[in-house]
Amino acid sequence: MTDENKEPLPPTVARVLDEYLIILHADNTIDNEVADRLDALLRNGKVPKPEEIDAVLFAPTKNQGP
Amino acid sequence: MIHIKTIHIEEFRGIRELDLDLAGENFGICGPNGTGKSGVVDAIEFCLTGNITRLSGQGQGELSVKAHAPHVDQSKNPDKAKVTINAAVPSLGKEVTITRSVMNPRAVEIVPADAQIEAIIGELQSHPEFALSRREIAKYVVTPPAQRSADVQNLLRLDYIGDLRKALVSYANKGKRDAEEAERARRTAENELTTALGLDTLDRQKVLEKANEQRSALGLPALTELTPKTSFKEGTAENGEGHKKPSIAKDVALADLAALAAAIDAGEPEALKEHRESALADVRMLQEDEKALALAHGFITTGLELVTEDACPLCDKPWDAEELREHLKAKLLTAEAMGTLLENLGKTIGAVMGSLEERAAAIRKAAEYAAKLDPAVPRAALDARAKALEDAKAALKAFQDDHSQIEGAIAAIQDKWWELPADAQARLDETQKGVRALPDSSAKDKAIDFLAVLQDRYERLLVSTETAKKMAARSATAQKVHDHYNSVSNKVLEDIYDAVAKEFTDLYKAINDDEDEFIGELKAEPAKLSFNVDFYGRGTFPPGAYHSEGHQDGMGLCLYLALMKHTLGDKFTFAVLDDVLMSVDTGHRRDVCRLLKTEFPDTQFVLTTHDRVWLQYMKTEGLIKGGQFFGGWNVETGPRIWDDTDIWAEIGAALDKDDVPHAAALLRRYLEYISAVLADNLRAQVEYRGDANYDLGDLLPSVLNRWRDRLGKGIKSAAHWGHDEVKAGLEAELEEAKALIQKTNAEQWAINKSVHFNEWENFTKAEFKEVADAFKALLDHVRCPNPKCGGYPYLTPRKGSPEQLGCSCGTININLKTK
Repeated sequence: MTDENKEPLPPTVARVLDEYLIILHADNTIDNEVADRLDALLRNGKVPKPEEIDAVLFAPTKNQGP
Repeated sequence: MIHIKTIHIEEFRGIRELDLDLAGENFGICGPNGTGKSGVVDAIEFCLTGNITRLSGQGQGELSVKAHAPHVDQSKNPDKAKVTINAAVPSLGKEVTITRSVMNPRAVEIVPADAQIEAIIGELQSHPEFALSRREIAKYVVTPPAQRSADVQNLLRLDYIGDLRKALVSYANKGKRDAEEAERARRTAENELTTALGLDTLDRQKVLEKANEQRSALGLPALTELTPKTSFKEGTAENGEGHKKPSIAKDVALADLAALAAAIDAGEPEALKEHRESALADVRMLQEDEKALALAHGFITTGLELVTEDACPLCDKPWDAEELREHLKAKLLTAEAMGTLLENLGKTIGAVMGSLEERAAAIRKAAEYAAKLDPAVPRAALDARAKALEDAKAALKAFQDDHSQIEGAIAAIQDKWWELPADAQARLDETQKGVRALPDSSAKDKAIDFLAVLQDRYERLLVSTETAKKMAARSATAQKVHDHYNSVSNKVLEDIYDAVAKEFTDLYKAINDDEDEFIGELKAEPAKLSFNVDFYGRGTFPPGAYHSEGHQDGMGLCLYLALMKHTLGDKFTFAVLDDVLMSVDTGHRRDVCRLLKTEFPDTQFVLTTHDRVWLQYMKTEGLIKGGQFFGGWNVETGPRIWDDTDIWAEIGAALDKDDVPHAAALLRRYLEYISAVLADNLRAQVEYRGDANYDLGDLLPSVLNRWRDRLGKGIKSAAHWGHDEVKAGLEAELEEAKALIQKTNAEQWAINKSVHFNEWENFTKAEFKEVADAFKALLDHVRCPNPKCGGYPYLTPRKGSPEQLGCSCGTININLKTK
């Protein structure tokens, strides 16, 4: 299924995720890049598996290098 | 969403072939029970979603769409059962034809194949709640709070929010367990190091002192600081002078074995005993609740809802109601109690797992010493015991990951694993004896061996400490990510429930103008959604507590509309209401019509009812323009239908056939109906009858008198406020009313029998046509001239001194106040 055909998130879900991203960005202990990756994962419309959450939370950031 | 223009149904449910023309407008379907109305509702739902709730819903296990959606005579030919809907898509300004066959309910044919249209049909498919039956309405009002929570969350499409919450909780819990495991590994490494050093606790200075004692024996310089890069054995012969590495470092081995033996002799530590007993009690409680969940959780929950008197609702055995409730509640763990129990279990089981891990590691080490002795002590019994402990730990971990794995967890917790089986104990004793018997090496070799073991255990502690720190940091992040989500989603949901409750309250007040103080409350609690409503200022109660069935129907509809409005917003353009308001009384039906018409002007409602008068109300109030009557059904031909044509066209058709008696009967029946509506709208003063059996002669003259009187009142009001133009307009309208009323002869009925409505059937065609035209002109004069409204005006408020005469759209708006 292409992105265009993907069912849009219900408005309530979108609202929760919008506000969630704001809170994540406001948390100094969470890197913005990590927050954005988590946001993208949750907006995918599929419930993420633990290893997928792990990958977005603890993948090396651009600042950290390899 | 869409507006349906036409529906074509073939061999579907009780229908052989049927075409309906809705013209994209609200549409009424009326007929007695068993005439096929619901077949139309099923057809709409099937065409748009591929499913029929009536066949696939709860408790419909033996029914299926494929087997039971085709007409009974075509049950073997599902390919012949199909529905086609032609619809407008207002948001896209496009039209679409949707066809679905029972042969393959999942496949839908959409013409034209347009991605945007397909997305909208997909959205409809995910919102089957657009079709609401009376049976379903109950679920929003009188179902238990836990079920309501699920239904409402489902309707609001909040399941994904809940699913994400579960995923993040699960991830945070896993992070926590991983961190605990890493910390246990670090503690084990620390214990092994302190055992080797003969220390009670780890102290940097003492580690250096112990290491330097041995380095001094080798003539090596003392180490001055302990860093991750510290090498205790730097400069020893092992690094190049041909030192033969011993198989066992005797002192360290003796210390390890002595520590294990002492731990076994000491029996179960008090702290472990407490953790084990607590874990066992909690797991057993969980096991009981699991049984309840599997067998009777729903039954007990329903039972709790049904306890209204001092007796068991099932067997009528006398019980104090409060006592019975407590008795039933004790059988269930609330979500809150479950959360506390699982949290406690996480701690106690973690402690048990830590002890198991330490003991298994110590026994494995003993087994390795046993194998290195010459002659070797058989290690199998020790390995078997270590393996049993590792398996017990794995069973506890499996339980932490999946709480249904209870049996293995109980066995692991119950096992007296701090004791060593006799054969393993014998091997341990032999190993200790064998190590003690090893020849003492030279002080120099002893120092080299000690530093080698120290180096190995120190490096393992460093690695495990690093891992534990990393895992603790990950766990903290996972917990924080979950906590943020939890607080955000809770707040959003609370806001939504507040907004829906407010919308519900406004809608309900609009159809119950005698309940000004009414409020509805939706309150989210763990795993349930409470719904309480005001009862005439006496407090808030569940809707089923005091409100009548009719009021509950009204509440169900209002809550449904509020939820749909909130969920779909502008996309709420279509809804099927299948006999949902049959318990709502006459006075409130008109208000419901106005509510649907004024609050949801862009939503196309398809309404079914078995009550002809209800359909007339919908027409009179301008809610629907068209409708279809279903009058009789048989299995061979399906429903017998006829169009709900315009009454004046029907009268005209009868006159065209020179059938004056039929035309007269039609006019009389229609005027009886419309007089009752206008008497109610205008609060006409009619002689009271206990049996409420008013005929046309009782009602119409009073209605016409009241109409003139209200216009006169409007003229007075306009004069009072100095609105000359309005006054002049109303005066002209009053003159017109007088002339039109005179033409109908209605006021002559009491004094001139030759013009009485009972005589109409004896009139000539020309005479009767004059009468019919006069009444049509009079009623056209009364009703709103706006073609989009066309409703009859009514007085507001409905009680007390009338202040205004107006219609739903506001085109008729006559002020009656003079103060």
